[in-house]
Amino acid sequence: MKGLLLKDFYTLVVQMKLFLLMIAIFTLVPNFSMSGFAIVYAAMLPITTLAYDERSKWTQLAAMMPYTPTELVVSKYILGYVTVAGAFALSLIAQAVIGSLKGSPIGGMDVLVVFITANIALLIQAANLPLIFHFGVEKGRLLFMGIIAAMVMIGMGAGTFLLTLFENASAALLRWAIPAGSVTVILNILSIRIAVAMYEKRQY
Amino acid sequence: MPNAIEIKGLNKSYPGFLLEDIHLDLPRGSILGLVGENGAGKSTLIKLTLKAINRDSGTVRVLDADLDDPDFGRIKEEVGVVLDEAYYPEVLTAQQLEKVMAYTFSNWDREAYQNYLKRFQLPEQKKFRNFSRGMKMKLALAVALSHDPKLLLLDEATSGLDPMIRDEMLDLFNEFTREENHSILISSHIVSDLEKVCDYIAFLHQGKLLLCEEKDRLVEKYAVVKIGRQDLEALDPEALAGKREGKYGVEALVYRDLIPSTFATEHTSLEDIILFLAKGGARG
Repeated sequence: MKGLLLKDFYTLVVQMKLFLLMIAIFTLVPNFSMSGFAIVYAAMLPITTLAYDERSKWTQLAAMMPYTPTELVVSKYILGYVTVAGAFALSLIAQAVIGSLKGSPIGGMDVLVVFITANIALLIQAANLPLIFHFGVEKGRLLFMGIIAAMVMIGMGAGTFLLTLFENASAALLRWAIPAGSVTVILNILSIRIAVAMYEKRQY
Repeated sequence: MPNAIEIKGLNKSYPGFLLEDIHLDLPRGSILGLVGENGAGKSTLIKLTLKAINRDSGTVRVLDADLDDPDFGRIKEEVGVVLDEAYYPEVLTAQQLEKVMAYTFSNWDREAYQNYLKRFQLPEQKKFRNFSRGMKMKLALAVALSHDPKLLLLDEATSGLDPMIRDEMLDLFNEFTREENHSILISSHIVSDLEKVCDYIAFLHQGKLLLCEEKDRLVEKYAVVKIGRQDLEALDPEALAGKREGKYGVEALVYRDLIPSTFATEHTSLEDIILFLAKGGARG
């Protein structure tokens, strides 16, 4: 497992440089949800590594090496958790720094928004990775776009509800953070099980 | 000493392809060459040997472990694999690959890897995508040999390489099997390569294993004769393994012990035998 994560880390070094550059650029764009962008981009990184794996045919070689299907699948989820956690932390730090420069310190609502964004990103990953292990990266990427679009539609539909939620952000943080986090954890566990089954079914 | 690989009644089907009833043993300490045309099923057979794809039926044992054994992953630690290309992420360097493999194989031997890099003159810091094909295959072989493997599975590992590099690799294969518990299963289109290093030859044709015999025994068993059509008709049909008719007569692959001693036989290479059998089938 460590070997797989290290390989993905080396693969993503160039991507990470690009990621930090884009973050720096988008920070300058007024009213742009930098945290939303950073977190969703981070959730896409496991798919990027899968694309590299497919292109180099590493997937075929890995199937003959001493990795179990569970290790091969779970390593991609862990990579997603690490990158989303990194983007989450980065977003909070950036918001805190920008807020202190503007004289408006980071508040509970800011934390809640970033937290919910991170949850949404991990839910997208949970929905997407089994599909990628089943259909491959090309089709999987298209499905990823579809899932994002569906999430946006749902988000727009639930907008009114979310607004009422954010009116009292501190209370909402306490009320919704734990259930949202729990749902994300449960769905990710289910997703991993399905993805392992998909991987075992697919022929490499 | 038990076999390194034992395959019995192995079947695998895809739409339009069937690998059928394969029985094959690789004795320890020896090299078995798997030969066959494109699409004959060589790569499929090698993938099935390490459970990279699921079989329909049959049994496979590798280094005394059944594919279905729960700890088969441990056996994979003792198998070095080189496929037709070195399938490593192209942004990695040889040095980074070493670190990845050190976490992959519990018996990774850093010193052996460094020695192979020196022996093959491979740069440690250069990205893999900038390697030539020969360098890539040498790196794959360095990885395959640096975790104390007992078995090497080589799928077209020498294809597309220039004769110098191929020769270097073949020497290494011979060197590897000097230890009596080291074995190699190698598939190749290049029959002359297999003739140089293999102890056993298995011939896969359209998903069926037409033969699996000791290489020396094959050359003793078969002979090519150039005869006229009348001589061919007079020949015991059982003696004929394959034939190629030309303008001036017939070139035939025959069983040496079934032809009259008066027949003059030509020098018969493994390639001749394989080519004739591919067209005419084989009898035990």
